[in-house]
Amino acid sequence: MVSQQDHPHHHVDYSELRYLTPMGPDTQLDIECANVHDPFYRYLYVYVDGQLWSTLYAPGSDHIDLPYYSTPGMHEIKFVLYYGNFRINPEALRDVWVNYKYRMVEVD
Amino acid sequence: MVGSGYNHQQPSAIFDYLEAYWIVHNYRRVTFVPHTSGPFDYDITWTQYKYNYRNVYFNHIGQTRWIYGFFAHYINSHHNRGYGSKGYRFVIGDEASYCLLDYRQYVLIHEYGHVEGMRENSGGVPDIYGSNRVISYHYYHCSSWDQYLAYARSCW
Repeated sequence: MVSQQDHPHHHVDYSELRYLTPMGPDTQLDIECANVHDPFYRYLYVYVDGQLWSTLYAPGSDHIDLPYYSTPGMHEIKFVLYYGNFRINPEALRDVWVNYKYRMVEVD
Repeated sequence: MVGSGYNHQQPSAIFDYLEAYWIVHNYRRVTFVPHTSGPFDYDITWTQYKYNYRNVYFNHIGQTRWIYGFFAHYINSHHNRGYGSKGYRFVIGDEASYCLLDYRQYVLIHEYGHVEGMRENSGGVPDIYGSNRVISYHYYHCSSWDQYLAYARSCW
């Protein structure tokens, strides 16, 4: 969801994308940010349930820990591109994978 | 994996493939922890595997987050690549036909799919990731996605 003005040439300071994802024990985030035809580095703030959790950069790739929830459930993760507009720079959020620890396999 | 005369230790790429597949296609992460305990048998059966290996060498027996996987030479015959049971365990014969290195990662996904509640092609709901050549003939034990999700939740 692009929360700012829809017009691609309208100047906005930031834009945000919000997702509801399952989170649980040892939640982790794998993320890849790119800037295609974009000469600037941009901040990418990560919020979890409305709380600022981490500051990432685009372009860049990261593997970070998200909050630990002993009981899996749905939580909101929000990405704020600052400065920037996801409509103009959609590759700033190229890949997002959220996952939590579920099963271990002992292999003999 | 290590036994007399033959080493069944798997290259890490086999497990990396499944772990990455699971991260991309699921919110629940699967982690493989290779051990080197356990003896070697040239050819074992599903029953031998349960009583002589799983019940003896499973270090995390009784822990609900852990399941047991085993690599042997052959399972029952040279043509059986492996077996898996829902929510419990799997075994793979890594020298069986179509189970050599270039194909073993798909066999692992197949057998682990049984642990996750999928079964062979006999009705039910086809996997939404049907483009994968191994998963494509997997069908869930459950007759609807609601049932599958209920089963997935029951794992917790």
